Amino acid sequence: MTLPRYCRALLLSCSAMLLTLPAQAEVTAGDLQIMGRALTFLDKPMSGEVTVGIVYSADNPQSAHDAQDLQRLLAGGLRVGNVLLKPLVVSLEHVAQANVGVLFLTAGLGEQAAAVEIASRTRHLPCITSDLSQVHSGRCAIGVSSEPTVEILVNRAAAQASGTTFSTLFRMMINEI
Amino acid sequence: MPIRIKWPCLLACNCLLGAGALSADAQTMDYGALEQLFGEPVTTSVTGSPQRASQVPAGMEIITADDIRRSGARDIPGVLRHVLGVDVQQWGNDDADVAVRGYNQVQSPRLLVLIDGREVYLHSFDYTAWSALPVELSGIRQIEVVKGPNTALFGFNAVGGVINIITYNPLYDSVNEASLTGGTQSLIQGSLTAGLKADAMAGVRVLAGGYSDHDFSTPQAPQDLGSRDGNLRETANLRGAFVLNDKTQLELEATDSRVRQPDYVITAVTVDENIHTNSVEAVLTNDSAFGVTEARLYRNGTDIVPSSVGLALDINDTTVVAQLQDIFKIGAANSFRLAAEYQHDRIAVTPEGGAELSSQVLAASTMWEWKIRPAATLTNAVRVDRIDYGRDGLVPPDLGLTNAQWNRGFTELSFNSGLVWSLTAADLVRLTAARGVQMPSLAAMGAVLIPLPVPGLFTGGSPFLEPTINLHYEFGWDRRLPLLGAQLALSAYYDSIHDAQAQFGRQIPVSPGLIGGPVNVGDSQSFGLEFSLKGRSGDHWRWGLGYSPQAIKDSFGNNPVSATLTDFEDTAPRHTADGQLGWSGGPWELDGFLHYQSAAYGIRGFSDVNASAALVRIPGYMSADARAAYRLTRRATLALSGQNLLHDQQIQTASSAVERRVLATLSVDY
Repeated sequence: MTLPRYCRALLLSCSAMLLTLPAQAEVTAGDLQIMGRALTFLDKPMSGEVTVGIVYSADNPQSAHDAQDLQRLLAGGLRVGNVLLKPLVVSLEHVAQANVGVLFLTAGLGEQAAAVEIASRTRHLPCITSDLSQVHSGRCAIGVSSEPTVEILVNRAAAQASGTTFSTLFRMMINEI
Repeated sequence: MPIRIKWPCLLACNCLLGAGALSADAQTMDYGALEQLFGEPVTTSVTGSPQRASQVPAGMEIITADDIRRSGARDIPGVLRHVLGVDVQQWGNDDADVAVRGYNQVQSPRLLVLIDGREVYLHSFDYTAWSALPVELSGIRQIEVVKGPNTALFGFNAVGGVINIITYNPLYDSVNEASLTGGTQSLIQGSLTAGLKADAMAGVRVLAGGYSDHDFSTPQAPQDLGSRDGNLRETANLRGAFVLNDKTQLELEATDSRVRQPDYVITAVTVDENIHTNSVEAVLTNDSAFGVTEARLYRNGTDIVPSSVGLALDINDTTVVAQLQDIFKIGAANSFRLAAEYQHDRIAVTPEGGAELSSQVLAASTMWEWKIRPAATLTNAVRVDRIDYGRDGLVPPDLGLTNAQWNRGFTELSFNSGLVWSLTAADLVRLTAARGVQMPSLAAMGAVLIPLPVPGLFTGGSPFLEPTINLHYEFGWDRRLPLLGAQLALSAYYDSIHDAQAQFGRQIPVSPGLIGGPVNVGDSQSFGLEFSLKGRSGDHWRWGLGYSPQAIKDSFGNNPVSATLTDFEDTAPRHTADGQLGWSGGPWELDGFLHYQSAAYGIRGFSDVNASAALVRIPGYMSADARAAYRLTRRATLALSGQNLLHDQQIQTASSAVERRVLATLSVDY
């Protein structure tokens, strides 16, 4: 059976899209809840209103989409314990100067996220993401996923470099690398 | 390229990462915050370190505060009877014994019970007086049920299982509830849970409650000595938590409870008892570069007066416990717990008086949790207990024993090992093995020494008891079923018990004058399976099904049940099944529970010391509990609940038949 040319083109396009999509899923409301709650277990606990820097790149469609989702989910603020998280969208180029208390790293940035790693280290800002590959690479200290079960992954070197510390008991309940 | 990190660097990293608080200004477990974070209850009852309920290396059930409320129960055994694998024997309206996976005996000695880590199992008496526990249901965050031995963590009383009752923490939780209950059996019950917090630096919480009712009016056996003239319970629990600095917390607790009720006792007859317990406790916790260090010191006092036996019995015990533990993590994959414990018990010999039995325990334990890979964890725990007994004071000349014969000591090793492996995102398997140890209690060693009508003869405890050893092996498989919104859990277990102890043997000469008392009767093996399926459908429905077949084989040789009042093989039902269905919507909350167990036998004692005990057949039965609650206002709820609803009365044990109970409860959150 021979498929019409336009069908073959469509199939090829779909295949290419599937192959180029990053492995990680979109950030969900569940991920965001876990991110917020994980921050309440920091050694120096946050309190009051905290500005969340949603770090993205306009050139990266997944990152931009992620940033939109995060901004929408955080619109009006997310209250977790004593903390009220307020969003501020920050482009990669401006992350070093952003006036924020914590960095939420959008997914799909790959090596572009090196700027976030530098900002996190130099300014001692906790970095948290749903893109676990960024935690494995050490560009971001904390990774979370909420499906199918809640997982929290901490890169100990990145955490140490950014001054992100947790208690002994909490460390026993998470995965560290 | 893999990064090589040297050991000192790991330690340094550990120190840097570890020097912090668990949550805001806190070093102790904030169960509520962690449960919200991980989406499931958390516990420290299996390894001593915090774990998610789904990842513990043991067969475990966690009963949440929601489960407790929806159960409609008015006491803890009433909550536990809905848990598969937990065997509740309801001897009277306010008297029950609880055991895990069979082996339930009168005044069950194999289950360790704690409240917030403090032992409330009366280990000098070998049982738990459930109605005397100084805790209110509305003040409980969760009840953790560990199935199988866990003596490597908790010591030699945790030979068959552990129940750790976790109350709300005055520093983290704000729970204020008052309730009033009235019901059948002339029940009037009041309960109060109240907390007060001063910023995030201090919190105080009070649990207080009491009831009066009468026992079941179903026929008693002629040998029963209980008068049923009015049961009474009064308890109070005051707990404070204080932040001393951003790394250190202090918790202080004082409790008192008084109970008057008929109890089915180790001679398998009912007698009236007055029970008074009290305790004081201090717990200091510090999070430092060396990990989380906890020092715990408490004193338990217990006074039990059986009032209808025609003897001036007054069993008075004092226990002092000091514990020190350190929990720390080295590197990314290895967590440890080091602990040491000292116990001193003292109990007056009754009714003769003039003598005292005592024991001292020194114990050391360690736990190593190795995360082999993110999905697999191996846990090993070992504990060594050294116990030394002694007796001072008068010895009846006819007894044929001297105080020196109580100068005995045992050194026993316990272990718990468990491999937990998440095979897929939906499947988790669990392989565990354990060696549990049950040491003879002071009561069993002779704190009660009753002169018989025949001059020169006594019955009571024996100084010749040996420890009981329980070897336990278990395989478990949990599978999430997202399409059903359910969780399937299967487990298979095998227990081998050596030198099992009979609580009270008759006509067994221990010495020329001592012709009855606890004895080691022999060995016993148990094999069982547990299947459970629990789930939720939509926002409204919750449901659960469970089934457990079990077979026990005793090898008691020349120790017949007629003399030892002990028969595990015939008294454990071969089949038990549980079902539950619940619905919530708007102001309504409706729940129903069914429990089935196949026919088994119970044990009946005789008041005449020369007579024999007998097995009594307990027919298979189905029982139903239910609760319907309606939220009247934002703060007030009216609930109607009941137990044993299918029949006016039903034979469930060898004691009197249980009656239907119906309760109405008005509760107010404030």
